[in-house]
Amino acid sequence: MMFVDVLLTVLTVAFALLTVFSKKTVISAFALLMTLVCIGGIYYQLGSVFLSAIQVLVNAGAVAILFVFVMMLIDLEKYPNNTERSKIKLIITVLTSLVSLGVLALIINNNIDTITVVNLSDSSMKALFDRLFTQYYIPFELATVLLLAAVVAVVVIANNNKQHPGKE
Amino acid sequence: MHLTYLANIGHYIPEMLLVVLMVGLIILEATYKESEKNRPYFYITTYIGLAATFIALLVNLKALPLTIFTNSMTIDPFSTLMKMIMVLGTFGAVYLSKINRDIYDSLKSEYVIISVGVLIGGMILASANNMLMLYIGIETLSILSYVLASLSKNNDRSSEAGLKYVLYGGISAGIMLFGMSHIFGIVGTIQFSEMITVLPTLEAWKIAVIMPSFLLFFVGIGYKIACVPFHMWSPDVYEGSPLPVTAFFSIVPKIAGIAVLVRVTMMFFGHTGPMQIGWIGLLSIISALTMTVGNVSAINQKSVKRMLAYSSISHAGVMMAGLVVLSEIGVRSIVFYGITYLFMTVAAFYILGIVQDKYNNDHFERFTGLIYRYPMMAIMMTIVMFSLTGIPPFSGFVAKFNILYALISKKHFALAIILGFNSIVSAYYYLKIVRLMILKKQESDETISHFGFLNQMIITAMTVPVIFLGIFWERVMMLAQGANIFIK
Repeated sequence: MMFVDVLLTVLTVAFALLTVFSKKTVISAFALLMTLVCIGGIYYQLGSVFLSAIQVLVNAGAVAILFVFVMMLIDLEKYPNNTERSKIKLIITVLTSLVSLGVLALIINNNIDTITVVNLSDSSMKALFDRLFTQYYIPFELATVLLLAAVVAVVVIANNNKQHPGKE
Repeated sequence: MHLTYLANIGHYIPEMLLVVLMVGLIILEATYKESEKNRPYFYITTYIGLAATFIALLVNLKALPLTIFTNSMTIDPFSTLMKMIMVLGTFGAVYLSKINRDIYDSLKSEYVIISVGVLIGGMILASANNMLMLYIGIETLSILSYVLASLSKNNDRSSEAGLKYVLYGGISAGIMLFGMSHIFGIVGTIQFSEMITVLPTLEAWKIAVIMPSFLLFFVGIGYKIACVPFHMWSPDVYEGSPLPVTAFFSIVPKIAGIAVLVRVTMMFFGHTGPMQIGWIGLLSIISALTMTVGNVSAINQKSVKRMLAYSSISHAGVMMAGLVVLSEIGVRSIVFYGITYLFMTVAAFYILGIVQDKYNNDHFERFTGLIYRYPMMAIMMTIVMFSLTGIPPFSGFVAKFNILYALISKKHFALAIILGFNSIVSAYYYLKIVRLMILKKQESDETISHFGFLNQMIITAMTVPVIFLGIFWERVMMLAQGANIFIK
């Protein structure tokens, strides 16, 4: 099992790097998709089958595909790749990455035992939904309200059949 | 567990009423034929629903502060007062959308439905007591606002405003989530009530991590308030959006953002230490910048709507200044400022909206000689502009004076001086309208059809509080006195 874990971790990082450094947008999108799938694999290895399925379905299946759709809609040939790399940009990037890395390392190193998480076992789905329908019921319901209003909003934006006389 | 969860649902009636209202409006809208432009029952239902919500909030105002739904929501006088301001603002914006031509006839009912949705988001935000509720509130508020901004679909500027709003909003929400996850990583909980106990006991290295995290967290809130480093979207969105939407934007999301900023500041930064010093320093600098940039940019505007957009940025800066003192006087003066800001803004936008409808643009010159045609309206506009500047005896003066008093009592002299200077600068552009209306001869004597008896009465009724709050302000301050209880 250890081997699979290490392989997934290495693949995730490799694909993430490819996402950032690839010069072709399509390859970036594909690498992003693979990163998300690999993270789904890590969830599976940790024992949370449900979370891994959701990760693949929603993040890899829907979100990454949306990226590809947008790329198809935009004529990428028209916009040449912005490959100029200034020194300041590079320094800022490296600094930000190092700081983020340091902060994450600090948090993980010191807090790994104190954070209580839902026990990731076979019953993880049951535990998740127990929480969802008791402690976090109100956020769940409010999200449905948001979605309902968003449906109206989407119809408003997308419906193009009506004549809009507006102001004369 | 399950029963205690619902035990306090009686305190959540206002929000539930609004949800029912929104769903009811969606159904009601579907019963009308597309050809029916005048939809009396639709508006009557909206007014009744909003009025019922307001009354339910009034009942809640007497309740002691308490948290409901396993600590995820706080019901206290402060949040209730902020919610009342938002409900009144929505009420004003809905009637304005009915009489204004800036919104297409076929989309007027959708405007009402979506703005009720935004109001729900604002109310969640005002009483959020954990990170999850806060995020859901901000998203409800934002996602629906994007659509409101691009409601004039055939107008390029409106579509541009919507797109800009989406892009800025998406990025700032992402940054805020990043900050929140770091805060969670350090503190180990998303409940505000548990965070308060953990925060004062943090070790030095944890404080070093959590301070930048709070900075990232602030980006999301600052974006909603449109304070200075994150204000770039605001004038373009305000100008591009249809006028009733602009009126709505300058009240509901802004008040909701201020409410959540007050709650976060008072809860997490009450104890002395490096965190408090850092946060107060951040707030002072941003508040000073917000006031100054808003006012200075407003000077050169030709469009009154854009001028009001910049002025609303600077008013947000003044409200933030009240927060720097970290005391109940500050919170009370912010609540009072919010109330007066509501009436001044709504009245100004009503008059502007009606004038703009007549001439199809909103340049300053359109107000020339208004007093010779509609003396009552010109006087009301003058009162509102005086009050926005902060000239006694109007309520704007008392509101600014309260914040100044709070600042000076805690020895924040620099911020107090900046506030004073900004009032002087703002006089230039506010009084420009007054000069045009009163001292210049009119160019023509066209009548403006929407300045009928009813609308003049409504505008006058909205201006009356601007005068009376300036004189009988003690009463309102007494009302706001309970607003500090939530801190513990």
